Amino acid sequence: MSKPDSQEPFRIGVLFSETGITAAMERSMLQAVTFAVEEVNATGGIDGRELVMVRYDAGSDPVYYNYLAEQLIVSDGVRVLFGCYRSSTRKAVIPVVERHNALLMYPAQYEGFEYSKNIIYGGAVANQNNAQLGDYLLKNFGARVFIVGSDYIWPREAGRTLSDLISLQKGETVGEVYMSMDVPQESLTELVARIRSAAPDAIFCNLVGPSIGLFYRAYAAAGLDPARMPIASLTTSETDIAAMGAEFAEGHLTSAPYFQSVGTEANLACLARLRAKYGADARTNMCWEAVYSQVHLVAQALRSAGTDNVDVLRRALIGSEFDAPQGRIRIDPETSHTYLWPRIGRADATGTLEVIQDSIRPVKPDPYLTSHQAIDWGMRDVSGGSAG
Amino acid sequence: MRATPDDDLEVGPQPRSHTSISELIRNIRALRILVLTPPSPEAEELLMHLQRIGCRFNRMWPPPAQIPGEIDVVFVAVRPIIEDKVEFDWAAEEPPACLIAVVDYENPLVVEQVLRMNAQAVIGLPVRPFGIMTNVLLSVANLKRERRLRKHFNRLYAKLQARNEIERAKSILAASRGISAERAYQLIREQAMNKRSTVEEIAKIIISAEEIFNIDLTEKPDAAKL
Repeated sequence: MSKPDSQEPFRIGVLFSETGITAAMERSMLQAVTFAVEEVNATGGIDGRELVMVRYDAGSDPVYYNYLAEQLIVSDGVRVLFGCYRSSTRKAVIPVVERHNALLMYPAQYEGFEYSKNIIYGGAVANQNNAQLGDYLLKNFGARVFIVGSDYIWPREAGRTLSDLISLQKGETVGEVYMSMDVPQESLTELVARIRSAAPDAIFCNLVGPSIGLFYRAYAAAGLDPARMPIASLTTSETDIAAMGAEFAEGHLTSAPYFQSVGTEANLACLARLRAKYGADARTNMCWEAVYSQVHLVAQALRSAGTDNVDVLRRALIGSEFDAPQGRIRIDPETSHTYLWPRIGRADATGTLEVIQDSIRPVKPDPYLTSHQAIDWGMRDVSGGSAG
Repeated sequence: MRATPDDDLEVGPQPRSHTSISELIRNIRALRILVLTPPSPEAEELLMHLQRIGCRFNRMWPPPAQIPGEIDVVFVAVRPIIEDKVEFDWAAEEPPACLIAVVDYENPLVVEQVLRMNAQAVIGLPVRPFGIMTNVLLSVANLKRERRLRKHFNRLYAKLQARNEIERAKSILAASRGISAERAYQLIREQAMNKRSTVEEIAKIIISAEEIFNIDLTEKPDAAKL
């Protein structure tokens, strides 16, 4: 492949959806790549070589993800891709990167049970978000949980995991409902009525896309109280909250390794640069941060490998570390997933997810964990101390 | 619950319950796995993936004369057994563990060996992590099912055998005494009660007595009476 002394730019493929049902989140992820690439280039690039994005809009459709991944690798000659959000879109890209021995940097939280030497996973798996949230709900709200989600593999597996987790701790799943991503408002209003009569201690919600906002609004319209029966999610982010309106999310919970409010130096500096560039309203979220960190991890690896030959680059990537906004992260050589810092956030009146619990150490990813027994994940309560 | 032993003949083996399947998945990390392959990068890939799944495992080559008792699942490389004449003595009908064949050829020679070993699952080389976890669980579930069916079959077979013997004893008794089959059965049952034995045991005694004294069953009881 390219010689280290070549001054040609390194091209990376970018495959997110600027249109379609998950566009809101994926536009934020696209902004994260763009922002991180600009940062890399502003600080000398890859030893003088520029990092250049080749990007396509995958339209929230797995068929396009598959087709465009092929195009990026075969026609555009790209070796490293950043992209995908839903599991179905990642599954559509896996055969392409495996066939051509390319590398996909996948930044979203997902259901686990996967390993490919052609993927680096940057988002949380169940032992980094779901287990902590389950423990928190059991300890602070009670053992009766109603599970709702979009009807595809990730919300269903997240639901199964949480259900398993609480049943092992004498809890009970009082309802489990999965709905299509374009579910109409009326169905969600009916769902909230059903939840109200089941009277759970908490609602575990992994709706995805615009249905998130519709559900939180239906909850508020029913006059339910987040202090007594919160919606708890692994998905709902600052971006979704801004879209629905902060007043509808206030008091509800999200578990993720990163929120915009995280008070690390790296996050404060990152936010300052982001706001300088995109204005005071610029917003981050768990996927934004994962994309941002993965770009920097790849840039580091390109510098040390001097090539984007995937076998060489991969060896440089696994085991590498980065001072991410969430804290120092590391790519686990065993699983190709990432050591992350679990946190529980609670939305305030301004739409900020304030950290109410965090981890005393990064948690090793365990994507093949089938049984979530009571384990001390090292979570501790946090009071105040959030950044803006 | 079963009222009489005869109900066994009507009731099939219980299907796997939903809970026993989720138990199996939940307990995958308790499985002990023995990987019988020569050292190679491919074997390393397999071991690394077992590590990710979180199973307990060992690799050995050549295969040991006897599979240690605590092993649940055995992976075995098939080609060296054929090509290099490596000893692998596998009791296919009463296996000590689940067997997952690791194959790199799919020609009839290899397939025949896999079938002869009665493998519960197969993985192909080069090793692809995708599917290994399912194959491990599938092999455990398949062998469990095989063992359960075999046990059920043995029980049914014993029942059937006993029933045939009782029928035979009844006709021996009916013929020699000139009584009805129902009466013969009553007598056998009474004897069983008196001797604190079972109907099956008494039937066996009658049959062996018949064999010893060589009573001719073709002799018509009515004719004897006349």
